[in-house]
Amino acid sequence: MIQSLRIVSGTGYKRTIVFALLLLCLGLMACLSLAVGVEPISLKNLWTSGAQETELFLISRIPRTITLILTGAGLSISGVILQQLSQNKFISPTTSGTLDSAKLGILFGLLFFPQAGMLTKLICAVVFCFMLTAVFTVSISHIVKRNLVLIPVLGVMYGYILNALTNVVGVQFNIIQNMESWMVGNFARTLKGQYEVIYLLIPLFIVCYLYAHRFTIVGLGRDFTTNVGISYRGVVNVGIMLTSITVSTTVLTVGAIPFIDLVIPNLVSLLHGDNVHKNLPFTACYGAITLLVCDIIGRLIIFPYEMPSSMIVGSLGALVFLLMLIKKGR
Amino acid sequence: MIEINSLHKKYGQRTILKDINLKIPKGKLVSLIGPNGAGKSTLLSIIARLEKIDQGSVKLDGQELSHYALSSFSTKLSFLKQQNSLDLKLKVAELIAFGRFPYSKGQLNPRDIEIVNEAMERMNLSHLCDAFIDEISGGERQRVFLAMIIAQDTDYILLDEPLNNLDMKHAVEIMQIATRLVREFNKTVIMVVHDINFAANYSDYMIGMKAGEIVFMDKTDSIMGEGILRSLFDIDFRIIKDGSSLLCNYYKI
Amino acid sequence: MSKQVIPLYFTLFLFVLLFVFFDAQIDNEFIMIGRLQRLFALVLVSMTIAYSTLVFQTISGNKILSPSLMGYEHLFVLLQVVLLLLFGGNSVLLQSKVWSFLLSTTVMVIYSFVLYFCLFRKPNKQIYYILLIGLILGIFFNTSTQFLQMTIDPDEFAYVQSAMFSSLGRISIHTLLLAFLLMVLVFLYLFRYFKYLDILSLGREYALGLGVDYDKVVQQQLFGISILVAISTALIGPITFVGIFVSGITYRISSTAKHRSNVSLAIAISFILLICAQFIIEHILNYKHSLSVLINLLGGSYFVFLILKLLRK
Repeated sequence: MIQSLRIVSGTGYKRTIVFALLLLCLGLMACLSLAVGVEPISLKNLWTSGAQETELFLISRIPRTITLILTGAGLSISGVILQQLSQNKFISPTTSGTLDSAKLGILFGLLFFPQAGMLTKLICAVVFCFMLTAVFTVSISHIVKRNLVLIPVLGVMYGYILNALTNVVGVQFNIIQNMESWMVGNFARTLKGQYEVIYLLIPLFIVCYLYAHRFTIVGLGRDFTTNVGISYRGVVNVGIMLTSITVSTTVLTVGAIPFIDLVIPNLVSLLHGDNVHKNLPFTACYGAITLLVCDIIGRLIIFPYEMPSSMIVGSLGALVFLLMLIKKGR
Repeated sequence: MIEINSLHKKYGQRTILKDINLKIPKGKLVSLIGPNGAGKSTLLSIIARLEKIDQGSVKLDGQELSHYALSSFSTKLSFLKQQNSLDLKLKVAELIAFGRFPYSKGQLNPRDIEIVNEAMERMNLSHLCDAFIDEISGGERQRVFLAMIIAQDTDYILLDEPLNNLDMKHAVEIMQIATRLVREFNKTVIMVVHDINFAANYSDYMIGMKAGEIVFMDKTDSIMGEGILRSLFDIDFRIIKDGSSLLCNYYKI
Repeated sequence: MSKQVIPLYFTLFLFVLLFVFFDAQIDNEFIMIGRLQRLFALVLVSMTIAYSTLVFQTISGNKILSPSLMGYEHLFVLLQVVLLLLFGGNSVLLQSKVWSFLLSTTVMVIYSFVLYFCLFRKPNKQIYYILLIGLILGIFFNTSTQFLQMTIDPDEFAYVQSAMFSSLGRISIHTLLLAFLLMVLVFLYLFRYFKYLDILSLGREYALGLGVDYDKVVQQQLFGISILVAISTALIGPITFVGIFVSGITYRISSTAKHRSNVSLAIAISFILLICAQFIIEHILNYKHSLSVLINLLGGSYFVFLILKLLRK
């Protein structure tokens, strides 16, 4: 593993150049995301105060772009963390029931505290996410560790069950309609005053970065971790907590976005190796860029209408992942 | 008699077997020895038709392997693989009875039952016949599978590391049974063995393999030389003879 | 037949009587025929579930998997939505039970063929991969359905929602006959290979060693299984987790690994399960929930129980 790291990650300054290029790309995409929309926006009018365009820009475009960047980065990072914790390249929030447990949590939030605000729902979602993901990731992955493909199979099955449960409860209490908006990820809803929860991800990134070394070590196994004097349980709990908060926040603000958390970490690991600490910024950048691109495609493909970006991410991501699977299987 | 002529085998770009030419005589106990990755298990798998031949030919009793029908081949040659862990609610007797499948196609006749019972007795398993195979010890399970092979009653028996994970007593037992199969029932047993001492003390012929090639093939006595073994394994040996048995010491020289 | 099995069949018999005659007006032809139809449908479905799950588990060497997992339910719902969008709610494809049954079965059989036989050269070696691909496609179908749902007229949406949960409302004598015919054909086709099933559980090497052409037999079994699963899904809708539950109970009760006795045991168990669930729905829940919801909840909780059991080991 160490060897492949040295080979893949290249020398220091090369990485810096790659990273700078990525940032440039991210900036470009962000600008594009700001510019694309039903109402054309020109730079000149933007600075004339009081214009309708400035208003639109502040209320809709900027929040949307920020949310896209943070969501893409956050989901990709949680994918990496779950990969490391389960020591399985095919495990991510999409394939371990995390997305579905967040939905279930929000459902219960709606059910028991119908009047409560964002924060209560978020806490509900996080609690459900943490418990349900922990049950799966910690238990299963350590029992059938050797089998790369069986664990995600079980994980997706687990997600199916949670999803079915959400459906049944939703139908029973007639709140399935209210739930729909969290089922499909859509950035059209991110407006000023509704998206601010997503800023919660920024402190999480910092914590992730601080813990990154430990995640790498945990990825080498329980015995190894204990051997170097790190509390295995502790790191696993922190990792699942970080993932839960990230996933819950994104589901709550924009809805469920599948597959990005699965595909991006795999691509990064292919391109840059498996050192979490070094690769975290890369992962975040790739994730953000991918989501921005998908969102822009979604806005343009049936212009002037919009296609939810989760559809684009879902289809493209599923396709890429299927190709990976078929290649690996052969 | 098994005849192998200029056999080649590749996995992708990696060459596993290179120009193998062998004649394995009938009615003998033959050991395949050599370092890890020499291609011993692959060679065994090819003879058992579990792997395809890339190039060259393998003949069993004068007939090309691929010319045998699968059902008649399974009455001629049997193969015991390395790991045998099955999570099945199968009784020991039922598993051994599977050995008769090539003949009976699932409908056991009295003769089949007799053979199964015989195999069970020979492997000292009669007391276990109603036990489930996932409840017995590893050594016992190895013997159960061997009993199945015996019940299959084939002329050729291939064993891939049959001594793996067995303690000394059971390992000796397996080797004694193999010897008896050869001496009393005129079977041909070909096995991959990692313990050079078991190979040296029990087998009639030895085949040394290294990096996909045959290094030597001869009667055991003529091979047991320190130089030959050193060239095969790249470590020093000292051969200690003691009456009927011999010991290759490589632990501390 | 062992001792534990006799009470089981006795219970089965009792439940059948209860199902048919409970609170019944014998002279009301409509009700009685309806009940017999549902009973027959449940018999067919329990046979497909039992056979397909048990044999699939043997092939994959894993007792917590089931062939109906591979995204069929989402494909089924997606198909209904697409049909609705293309042809409208009054189309014959949606209104006629026979046509919708035929179409769903065909699409699902084609789907399984693509999964089993096109992606990999040797399906039996990559069975987990195939499952994962199926599951991933399931998520993909689900997302697509949700997207398409947003473009559907709410009145017509009610139809899709009824498709999302399986029920016996869609069956008719004609669909039942069709399903029965198909099933008989499949079982006739597979009949010759029944004797190889026990050998398959030993794995590829031993099966070959014992003169069984493993790859061929497995492919034939998968072929049959895919049709069986399609039939049962088209007949009563998605029943994802029932198979796992049924096989779990079967292996718990059964004291042998012989397929002949296990499959018949599993048929009995799934039949009891389905008939109980349907009885509860008809007489206690008054049709508030559908069959699949009830049995999938049961099967799903059993699956979670299996995971937790693994955890304790």
